[in-house]
Amino acid sequence: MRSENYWQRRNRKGISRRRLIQAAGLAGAAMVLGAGPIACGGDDDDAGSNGTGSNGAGNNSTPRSEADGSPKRGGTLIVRRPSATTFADPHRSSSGYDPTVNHLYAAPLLSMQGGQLGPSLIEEWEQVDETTVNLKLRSGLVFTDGTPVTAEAVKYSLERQADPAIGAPRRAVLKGVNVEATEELLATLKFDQPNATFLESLAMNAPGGVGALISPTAHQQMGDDRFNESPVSVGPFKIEKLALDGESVFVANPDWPITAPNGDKLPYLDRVIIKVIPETAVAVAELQSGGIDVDYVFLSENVPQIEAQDDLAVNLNKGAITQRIGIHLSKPPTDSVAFRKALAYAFDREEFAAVFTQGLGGPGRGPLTELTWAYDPSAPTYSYDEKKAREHLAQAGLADGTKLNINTYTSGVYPRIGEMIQAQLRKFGIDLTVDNLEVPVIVEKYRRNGEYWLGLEGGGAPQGDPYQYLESNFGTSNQPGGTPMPEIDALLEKALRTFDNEERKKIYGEIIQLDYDQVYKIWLIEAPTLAGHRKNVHGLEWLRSGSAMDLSAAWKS
Amino acid sequence: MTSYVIRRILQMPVVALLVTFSLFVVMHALPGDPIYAMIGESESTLDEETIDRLREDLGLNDPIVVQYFNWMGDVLRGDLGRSFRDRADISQQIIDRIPTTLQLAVLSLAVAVCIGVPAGTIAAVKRNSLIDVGVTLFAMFGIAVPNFWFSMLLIWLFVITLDWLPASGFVGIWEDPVAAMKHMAMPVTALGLTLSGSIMRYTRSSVLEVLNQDYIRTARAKGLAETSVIVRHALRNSLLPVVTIIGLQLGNLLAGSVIIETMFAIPGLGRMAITAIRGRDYPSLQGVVLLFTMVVLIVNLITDMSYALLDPRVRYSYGATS
Repeated sequence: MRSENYWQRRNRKGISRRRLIQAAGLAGAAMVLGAGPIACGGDDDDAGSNGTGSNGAGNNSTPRSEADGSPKRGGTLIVRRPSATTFADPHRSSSGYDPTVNHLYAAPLLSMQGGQLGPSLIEEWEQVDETTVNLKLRSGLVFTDGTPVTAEAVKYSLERQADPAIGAPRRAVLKGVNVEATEELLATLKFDQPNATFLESLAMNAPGGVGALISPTAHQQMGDDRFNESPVSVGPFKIEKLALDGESVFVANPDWPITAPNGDKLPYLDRVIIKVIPETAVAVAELQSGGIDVDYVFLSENVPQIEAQDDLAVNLNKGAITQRIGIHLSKPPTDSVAFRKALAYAFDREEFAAVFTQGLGGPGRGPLTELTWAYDPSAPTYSYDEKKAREHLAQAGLADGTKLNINTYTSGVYPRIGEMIQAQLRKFGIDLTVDNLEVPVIVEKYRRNGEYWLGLEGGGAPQGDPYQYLESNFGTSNQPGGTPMPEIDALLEKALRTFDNEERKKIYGEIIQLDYDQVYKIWLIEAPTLAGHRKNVHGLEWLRSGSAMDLSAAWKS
Repeated sequence: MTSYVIRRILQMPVVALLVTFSLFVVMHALPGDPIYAMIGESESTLDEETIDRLREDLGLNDPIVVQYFNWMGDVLRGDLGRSFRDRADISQQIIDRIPTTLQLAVLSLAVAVCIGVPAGTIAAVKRNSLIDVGVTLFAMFGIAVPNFWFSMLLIWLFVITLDWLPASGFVGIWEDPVAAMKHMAMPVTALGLTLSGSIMRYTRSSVLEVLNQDYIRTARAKGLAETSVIVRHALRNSLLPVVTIIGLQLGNLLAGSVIIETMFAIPGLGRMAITAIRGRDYPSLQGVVLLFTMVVLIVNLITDMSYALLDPRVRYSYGATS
């Protein structure tokens, strides 16, 4: 049993007036400033934890609720999300929270089970050779407009997402992929180059993948914009009412053929209601009063309040979020490896984890966590060492008063993390300016223009194959200011051509070793993703993006 | 009078043009590309070709002035365009959300008037008494308290402590009046209270001024009941400035709705504006601001006209001016 910490004692009686007032103040400030994204909690994100580069399975969650028991049928599940769904069109969604919604009515082609690919709309798949994959669809699948699900639909969906006019977030993975409808239910993928990790992209809808299938007939009749208002796909639920910024209602699809592992017909629930509630404090109040059943964007600081209430529980997905400091690698003084090593030794990660995850997470160790099969517990990590930090600072030849700047998000825990980074660096004579910015400003100023030395980043840790995650963290295309990363790019290229998982793991290990040696990033915190829920809600699973949930097997007792 | 009204109506498009152009320039001056807001951090996975194509499709490569006049041209044809964020039809989105914000605004105004006018009148009648002090303090509280903070207090009391009301959501009053009132109770109180403070203060000072008039003394000398003196003679004649204030409060009401709708998860025009600002969704924000501008202008015109209807002296002065 976990010992009671300060936060629990403080919040045991439920939400306090002081906390409410604090929340109100923060809410007001957020409204004035315009809140940005989050990862380990924030209250209003459109993109912050969209799983850029995250992979893997979603069933690594640690339910802190009571044992599930036998599933029951029926009932309505009311689920909170903090921001409006960006696109209902499952090819164009761009928020990390969208898959919770779009997986209801658009099941991806494949699934992720325990870190491994599993069947979904695709019943069987075969890697014919290094550049050819066969995908065999289940028979009897029907889109909600009544048209059958065929290999032509697979071809249509993948080709549509490859079209730059659509703006599918993962379009890049479809470069050099040719799709043929070989038979009615058999699609063949031919790659220009070997691609050992492509199939993982089919186990997730946008923004983390390209796995969503749409009805070609419906799309051709409606066009892009009307299709977005009323998308036609196939999944465990059907759309009854779609209000991207309000309450959307989904009803069980009686024709859904996929069953639970125990053979039960899915879904168990009659209806799912997705309700947009922007303010975290209001969502917590709704959860406490029974207005909602699940909040899958939950802050760790609210966990004690939930655990203090008998009918509420928290579903914890450990290590699902990494919070790290990105570095401009070609801009003095952060172009100096010695200086970057000084920074890596300068942070007391235990303190960060204690303050910002309330003991539910841990110190950042590196890019990978136990959620991926590629994780290596013997990989080297940095921890706080004042002496070494000072030695490396001296080696870098930097005097007291070195000025740096860092950008972070406007919402969630990020501004406070920024302040702690600032405080810890002050001990070493580094004068850090912290700018809290909205997502588009961060993308423009930090990523594109390279105007910052440091950037506080957060997002889903890889759950499954970490290729995309490592690429988005270390590849040339995503470096602040466009710093070239030829060694990393070559290793990533090699990984794509390596079909043996163990061999690929070694390549990923080389990338992680390079990150350690060169300090490309400073890994600060491993935070969990959290879902607060009523105890009578069971069967909640995290999707591989880490910030979205699969509700297809959820049920209420 | 007629020429005055025509002149005011002709001024409206000019004001709307100035407001929307200023907003357009300010929005474009803000850092943060709408394309990056639209695609979020998936930018890191999007290739330049896709980003360039999206920018071209949205017309963002054109100079600002060209973009503005393209937008204005579409507006004149009755088309507010499509949202950058989700490509939804903005006109339709606004039409869908008007009843929501209207319900919030009308009920809030009703609460504000129902609290403000009687309380202000009582404070004036009981001048310098404890009641007057209490009402004045209440008015100051209403004016000073930020409505998001007051909203949180209401949630703590009525949702967490008493478990009487839902903390979020919206139900149309014609769909289910009881559920609608439950959902509206806290937002309307929070928004209405802040407005009631101003109304209360203006009512008090206006009634006080009227109570010192000769005709009030005459009414009392005639032996009329005090209630009749206050309600029929004092209050009626003191309402003119109060009507003006209620009209002018509309701007505050719409501004307040932005906060309140976000707080209580009400999918109205205020929340649409907030979402548009965060997402650098220029067309959606322009659409909402254009609507708000026109509503404020029209209500101000109606207020001025009602002034003339309520007070013949004003009507005559309009006539003299024209």
